[in-house]
Amino acid sequence: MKNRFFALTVISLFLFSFQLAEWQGLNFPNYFPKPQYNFENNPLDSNKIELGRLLFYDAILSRDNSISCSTCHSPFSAFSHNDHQLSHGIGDSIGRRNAPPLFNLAWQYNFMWDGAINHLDMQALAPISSASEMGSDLKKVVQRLQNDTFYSTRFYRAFNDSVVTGERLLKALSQFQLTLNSANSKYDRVQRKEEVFTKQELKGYKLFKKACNSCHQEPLFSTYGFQQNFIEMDSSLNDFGKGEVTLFSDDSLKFKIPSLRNLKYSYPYMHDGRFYSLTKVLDHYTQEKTQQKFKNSGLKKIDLTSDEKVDLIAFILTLNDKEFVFNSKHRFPRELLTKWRESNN
Amino acid sequence: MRSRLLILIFFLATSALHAQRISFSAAINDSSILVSEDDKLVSKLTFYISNLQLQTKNDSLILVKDYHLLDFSDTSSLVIGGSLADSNQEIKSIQFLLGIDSITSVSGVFGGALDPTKGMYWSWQSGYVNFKIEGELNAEKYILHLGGYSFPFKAVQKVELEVNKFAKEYHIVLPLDDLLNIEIPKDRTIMSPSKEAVEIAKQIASYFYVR
Repeated sequence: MKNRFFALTVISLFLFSFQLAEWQGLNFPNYFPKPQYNFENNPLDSNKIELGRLLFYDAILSRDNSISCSTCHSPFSAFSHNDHQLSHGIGDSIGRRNAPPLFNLAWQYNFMWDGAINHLDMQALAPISSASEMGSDLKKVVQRLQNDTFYSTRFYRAFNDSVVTGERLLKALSQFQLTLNSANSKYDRVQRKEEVFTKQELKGYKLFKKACNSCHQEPLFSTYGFQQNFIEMDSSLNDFGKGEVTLFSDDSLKFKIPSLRNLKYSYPYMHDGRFYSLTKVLDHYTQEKTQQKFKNSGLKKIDLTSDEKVDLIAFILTLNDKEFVFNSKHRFPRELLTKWRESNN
Repeated sequence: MRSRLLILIFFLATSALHAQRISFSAAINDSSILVSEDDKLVSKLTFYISNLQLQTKNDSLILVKDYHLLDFSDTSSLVIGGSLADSNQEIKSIQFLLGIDSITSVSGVFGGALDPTKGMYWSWQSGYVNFKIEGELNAEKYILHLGGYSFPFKAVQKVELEVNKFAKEYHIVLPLDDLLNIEIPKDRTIMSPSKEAVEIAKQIASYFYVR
C-alpha cells in the first residue's frame, strides 16, 4: 500500500514536471510565453466555444450561404487554404492575399498580413464584410441568427440570454479560435524530453537558431512582428502590406511574420502564396540579391549551403503538429449537418 | 402601509429634485435639425461621445455616461438622463471626449453603444468611426467618416464646455454651419484615418457650446 502511494507520488510528480501552464482556462506548455489575449473580458466557456465552432463552420455568415470561415481556413490545412495562392470568396471572387493558417492566436496582437486588425475579437468583421470574401455585414448576420431558432437556443446556452448581438457573436468566434492551439509537434515533444531530434534535425535546429530565430522566434516560431522579406512586389496585386495601413514609409512592404509551425499543411507560402515549397523559400532567402538587401537594411545574413538547406528543412518539418491538424475537437460539428438537413425539409 | 406611502412620496420628491439631464442638438442657422435618409443637405449624422463628466464647483467630477452614440435620426438618443449630481450643486463645466479613446479601441469587442452592429466600426481596419456625417452639398455628395486611434492620426478630441450654473437640463448644441460651409467644401470624402480627419475632428470639437 505504502509502495503504491509512493509510486503514485512519483508518477504525479513526473507528470507535473512536464508542465502544462494554464492561463484563464487555456492550457499550453510552460515554455510558451504568457498569452496576449485578455481573457478577463471574454472568459473561456465550453458553451461559448461550441457556439463559436458552429459559427466558424456555418456559411450563414455569408450573404448567400456559400462561404464559411472554414472555406479558407480548413482544419486539415492547419486552418489555412492549402494549394490556393490567394483566398477565394463569394461568387468565385479571388482575394488579394493568401489565407493564413490559424493557431496559437492568443499570443498574437495584430492580425492580417498587414496588421490592420488590432484584436482577435474584431478579426471576423473583415471577412464577413469584405465584398470578395463573405459579402455580408455584421448587422445582417446578427438578424439572421436571431431569426434562426437553432442559434437562439445556442446563444441562450452560451450567454444565458437568447438575444444575439454583435459582441456575443464575435466573442464566441474568438473563443473557438482561442482553442486552436498547436503545441504537440515533434519539437514540442523534444522540449518536454519525450523524444529526441535526429542528428540531421539537430544540425538544422542549430542553423535555424543562427539564421531564422530572430524573426521566427521559438517556441511560437514567430515574433508576430512585421518585416520586409524582399520578395519582388507582384505588380498585379500592388500590395504594400503594413504601409497601406499606417501610411508610414518605413512600414511599406512589411508583412506579418508567419509562424513556421505546420508548414507541411499550409502551403503555399508568403503573403501572396507564390512559393509552393520550402526549398523555393530558402532559395529566395539565400540568393545573392536578397542577401544584399538584408545586409543593407541591417538584417542578419542567411548563408546556407545546399546540404544545410536540407538539414534546416528537416528541422522545420519537426514543427508539423499532426495532433493539432487532426484534433476532432476542432473539426466540423456534426450538429450542423442535422440543422441543414432539417431546414431543407 | 402609510409609512410605505410616505417613503414612496419622499423617494419621488428627492428623485425629482435630482433628475437632471444632458441633451444634444445639431443646428444649422441657429435652428436645430433632425435628419433622415431622405434629407438632402444632411442625410446622416451620428457620433460618439465618451467619458461624459460634470465638473462641480469644488472640482469633483461626476461621470454621467461612459460611452454614448448620438444619432440625429433618433431623438431618444439625444437625451442622457438620470440623477446626475447628488445635490443641487453648481456645475462648473461639462467634459467629454468626441469619439472613442485609444485604449478602448484596442481592447476587443464591447456591447451596447460600442457594438460593431451600430455601424460605427470599420471592418477592413480596426477602429471606431468617431463621427459620421453624410449628405449633399451644392449638388455634390459628401461623406465624412472621422476616426483613427493611433498616432499620428488619433482623431478623438477632448471637449470642455463652461457652464457655471445649476440647471435641470444642460443643453449642448453642435452648430454645423462652419463644417458645411468651410470644412466639407475642402474635403468631401474621408473614410479612413488621416491628417485631414484629425484636423476636421479638431474643428468640430471647437463648435460645441452649452445653451
